[in-house]
Amino acid sequence: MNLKIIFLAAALLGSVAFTGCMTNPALAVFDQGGTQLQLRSFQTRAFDTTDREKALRTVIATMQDLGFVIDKADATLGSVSGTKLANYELRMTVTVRTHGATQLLVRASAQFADPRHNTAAVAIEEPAPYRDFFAALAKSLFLSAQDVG
Amino acid sequence: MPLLPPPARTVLLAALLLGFAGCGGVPVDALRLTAQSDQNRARQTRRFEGVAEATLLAATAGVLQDLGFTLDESESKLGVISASRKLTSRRPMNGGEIAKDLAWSILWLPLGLGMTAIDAAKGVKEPQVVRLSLVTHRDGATTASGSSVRVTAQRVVFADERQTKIKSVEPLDDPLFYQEFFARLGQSVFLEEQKT
Repeated sequence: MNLKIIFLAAALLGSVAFTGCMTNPALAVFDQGGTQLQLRSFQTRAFDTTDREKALRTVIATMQDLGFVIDKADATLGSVSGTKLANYELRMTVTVRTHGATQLLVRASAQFADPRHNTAAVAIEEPAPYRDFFAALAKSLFLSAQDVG
Repeated sequence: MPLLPPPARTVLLAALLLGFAGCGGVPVDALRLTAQSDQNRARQTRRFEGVAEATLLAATAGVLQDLGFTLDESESKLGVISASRKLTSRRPMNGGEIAKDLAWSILWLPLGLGMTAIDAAKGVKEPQVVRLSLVTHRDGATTASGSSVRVTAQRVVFADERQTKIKSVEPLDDPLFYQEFFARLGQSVFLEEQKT
């Protein structure tokens, strides 16, 4: 009798625990680890220039320096997307937009996956890789990358 | 009395730490410039004296079509073309693959030996998708100052012809690839300039 109750409780607890892991598929796209504001601050820097085309071309050159193949670039939208394959897959989108009268705002967002093991792509939410990217970009732009917000 | 002697504990701790390191996601240097970045740029870039950026971009598209690539995206305002091509190449068998093949010989002698020799001669099939991006750049204010183009290339190698299982993903780093590509691009630029 006691054993039956224990099994029942375990099954109930298990099902509750599994339900906790599930996500409504329609809302899965909104799943993210850190807070939105924190993530934006990791991913964004301001540069003291208004030459958007030059900044976009420098973003492309920096991505090539880092081993990316450029998948798509759009001068009107101010966006560049690329993929780096080096036993892993890193996809990154960089956008460049005006910020006030004297600055450009550059935002990078990247996803990491291991296609050899068929792992799902996960958004990179740690600050270190973005810090490295903006250091490389600042070097190519001959400008310093300024934190925003 | 402790369960394990101190050296064994150290080894166990190191193994555990290594194990956890192996679980890590993004490699620390994924978005960091390396000592090779400058060398790579030099190998992947070719400068064309007195050639306008638009001419160079058109010549680049021509070479890609010659080579059977599909142009996936382009943005001429920024001098970008991205292209891809599915192909199957053959590479020589490596030591491990020959050893694996030879292992069958133990059961099949001498037929197995013969089969290994044939397999080694044929090489290993590598179904793959090659992806590349070409980015042109005007080197000065006028056409006379010329333009340059930089190519970055990578490939996804599959385990099967139907391309359902990925075996490896890697950059195309062989200097021969860039030499050959730029040689063909040189011819294409010449043809393009004849037109204009």
